[in-house]
Amino acid sequence: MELVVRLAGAAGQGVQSLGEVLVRSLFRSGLFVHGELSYHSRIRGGENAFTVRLADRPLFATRREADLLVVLTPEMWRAYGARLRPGAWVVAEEGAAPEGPRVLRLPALQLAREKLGLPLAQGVVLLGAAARLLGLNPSAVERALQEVFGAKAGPNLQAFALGWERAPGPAWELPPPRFGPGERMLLTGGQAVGAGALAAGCRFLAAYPMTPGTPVLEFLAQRGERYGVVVEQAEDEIAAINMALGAAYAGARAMVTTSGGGFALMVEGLSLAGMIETPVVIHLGQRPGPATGLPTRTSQENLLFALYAGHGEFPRYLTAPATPESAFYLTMQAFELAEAYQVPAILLTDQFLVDSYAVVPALDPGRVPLREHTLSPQELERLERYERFAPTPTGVSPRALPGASRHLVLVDSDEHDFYGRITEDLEIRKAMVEKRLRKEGYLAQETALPEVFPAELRGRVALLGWGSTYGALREAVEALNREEDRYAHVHFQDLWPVRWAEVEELLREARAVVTVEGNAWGQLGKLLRQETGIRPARHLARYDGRPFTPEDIVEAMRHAA
Amino acid sequence: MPSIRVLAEREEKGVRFTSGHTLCAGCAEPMVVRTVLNAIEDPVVVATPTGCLEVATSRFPGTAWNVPWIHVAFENAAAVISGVEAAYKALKKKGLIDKRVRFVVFAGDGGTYDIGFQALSGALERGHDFLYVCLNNEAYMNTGVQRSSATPKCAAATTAPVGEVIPGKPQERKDLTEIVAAHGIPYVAQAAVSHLIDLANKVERAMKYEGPKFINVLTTCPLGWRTPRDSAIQQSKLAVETRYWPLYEVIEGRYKINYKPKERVPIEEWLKTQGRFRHLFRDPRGKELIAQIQAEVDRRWELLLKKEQCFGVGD
Ligand SMILES: Cc1ncc(C[n+]2csc(CCOP(=O)(O)OP(=O)(O)O)c2C)c(N)n1
Ligand code: SF4
Ligand SMILES: [Mg+2]
Repeated sequence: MELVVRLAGAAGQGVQSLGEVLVRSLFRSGLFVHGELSYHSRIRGGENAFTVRLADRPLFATRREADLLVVLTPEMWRAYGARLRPGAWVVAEEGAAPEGPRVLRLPALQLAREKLGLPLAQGVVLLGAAARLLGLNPSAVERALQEVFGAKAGPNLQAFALGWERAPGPAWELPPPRFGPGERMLLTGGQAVGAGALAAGCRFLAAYPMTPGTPVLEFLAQRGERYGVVVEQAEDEIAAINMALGAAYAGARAMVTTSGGGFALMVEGLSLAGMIETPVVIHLGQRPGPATGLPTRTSQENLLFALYAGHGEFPRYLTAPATPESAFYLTMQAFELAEAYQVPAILLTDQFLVDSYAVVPALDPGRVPLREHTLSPQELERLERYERFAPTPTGVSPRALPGASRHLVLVDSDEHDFYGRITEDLEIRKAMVEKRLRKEGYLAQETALPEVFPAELRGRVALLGWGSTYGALREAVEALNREEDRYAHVHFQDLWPVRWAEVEELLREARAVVTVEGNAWGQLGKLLRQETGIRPARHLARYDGRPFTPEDIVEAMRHAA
Repeated sequence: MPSIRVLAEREEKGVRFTSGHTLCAGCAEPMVVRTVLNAIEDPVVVATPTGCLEVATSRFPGTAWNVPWIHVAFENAAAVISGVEAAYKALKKKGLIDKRVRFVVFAGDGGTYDIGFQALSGALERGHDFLYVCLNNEAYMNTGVQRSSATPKCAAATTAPVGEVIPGKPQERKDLTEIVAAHGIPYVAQAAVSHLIDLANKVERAMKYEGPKFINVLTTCPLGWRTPRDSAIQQSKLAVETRYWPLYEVIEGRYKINYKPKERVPIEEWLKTQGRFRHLFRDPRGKELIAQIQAEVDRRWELLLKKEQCFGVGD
């Protein structure tokens, strides 16, 4: 059982709120949902679409075609009217869509204006009709309306009833609940990153607004007071990362959140973090570039940028969450590994992951143990002398916090000796480079190998992906295998460091490797070839700013076969 | 001084900023842009960093710009206009161009007070011949109403939320007009969208000077301020009447306050009409906070009066 509902209107018509109401109502009914927000970068007009999928199993991908289309404007009918599955229903503002079978046209704007004096409730009228067609329990929707509209729920509840009354009975039968209250959570990738930061003990966030990095900033700004997180909006991204480094030096678990353009400005600070071996977590929400690019769309164009950004050579942890669930745990892990190895950790998400809703098992912060990675005052007291950058077998030096003891904690952006004092002694320089780079090998042991589905790869065509394409790839491989059982889905979560020898051994089993990425270059493919010599047979690219759907991948593979 | 007739005639003759953009209904930005462009007679080249104005006026196949216009990255409008102006000067020197061309930046408060400030300061110091107009709507509107250093104290923004302890933005707004004046450039002014003729006059006066010119225009935003769509002008007028946003000029270091409200209108009158300050009227500490805001308005006004007294034009 699967249904796709698409709500489409102009910016300013509240489509996002309608989508939120719908996903919450379905979630409350015990169903798995996925909600994808697709919008133009403009304040008014333009396209705003919210695509809701519901099914009896977890979903992490969106769809091209809908079973129920709710349209508020003729433009949206032109954009989406052709993308319907057989037997689809349409609920439309009168005049927005032509008459036809299974087309329910309502004077929603007029009703909202005349009966409620609130033209903005137009969408809720249409939603009321759609909810009845879907066979939703009205009380689940009413509760969701209350949650989303808060104090303004009153007229919206009336609007909902006006729509409900005007729809025929259910066109579908929804499945029975698949989970009970409290077992699962509904959240976006952006919320998951923010929640992961709270769970990991983040104490400081500095950021500058940039879509799609902003939701994490806003999430923490709204909760900072309650959870004891200092949230500072800086005057630009250069300041943001350097503030975070200052906080981290002083002992706070610190984070920044941004997108490609802002990350570009942070790059010098990133390199500084590498040099002064100070942990910092960078959430990098990708959108299409170069430059301002497509501000509100999605992409996976920054893999190589995130990996190589920063002058000089230093280790980093780079990881790409696949779903809101993994976004939560990987954010926690990024904080842990940044602290443990005194390196910058980059969380690579994208607009699709940050803005999309999904249903995940209830989160368990206990799954990522948090440890203290700095010397205690007692330990420091026992030390005769303290060297911030003491050479060790792992390259990780004992980290003291300034002011915690009588010892001086020196850090310097210039090359320095074991104490942190500037040096131009070239032997020491060599030792310091080696010490810093040594950390990478140990860090690699903590990273995950790619997930392989089905477990046995031998003789299969491996579809390789990373990050938010996870759901689309998995569904595509399942669908392809139903036709001919010869495909596999190989998904990278950790992107640096990677245990390449093991990856090579694994992938050599495959008949062929195809990369599926939201970029033109095939960036993971390039990296794979560089590190293992394995050359992908093909790259399925998507760089139009939209997320992959399962059918995109299935069709492209069929075409190739 | 350009009268409404002159401005209208110029617009009839060759409209520089047209309709067809997708700025919100009731947004003050287009009024400011049209007025500024109509107040300049010479051909102009405009640079705009990322922000509402840029996003909403330039989407192909439409454009609201009937003048050469360049969109640049968010932090560097002043740097780019410097380059354009320097190139123009070089062409002129070589005799490859003889027209008098004017260079104008329209940038938001975020792109001016914060991320663009370093580029602005550099351009002012180098002394390029351009006019910089800050469309000050007191927050990052294009990315969904985050606070900027122009956001007034206690205003709610998504990154300065109203909580149990924190009543909106804790800090005072930066006095950028004075900071720019401290660069010692020939012309600096504050204007407001409610006083368009005053704005046109200022632009015309500014353009008489060679070198950097800066006008900080209070440009009300119904969406971010959470005010009715038809209230942009009233909002702006009240900001002037309450002395929150004085209309004044600093011409070659000489201060002139263009309008002194006869009556003292309490700042509360302005605050209470805006959703971004609504919490002040519910919070038990609201009265005290409003008193603090009033004190700061008074302090700045008194200081301005003194500056006019000491460094006035002497008329
Ligand atoms: C380096 C960089 N950081 C962040 C952004 C995101 N960004 C684009 S427009 C904008 C806000 C603009 O605010 P303002 O300058 O006040 O103009 P307004 O939209 O309010 O008119 C931000 C934060 C960006 N484009 N580039
Ligand atoms: S958000 Fe504000 S500044 Fe931006 S277009 Fe709308 S009214 Fe104008
Ligand atoms: Mg602004």
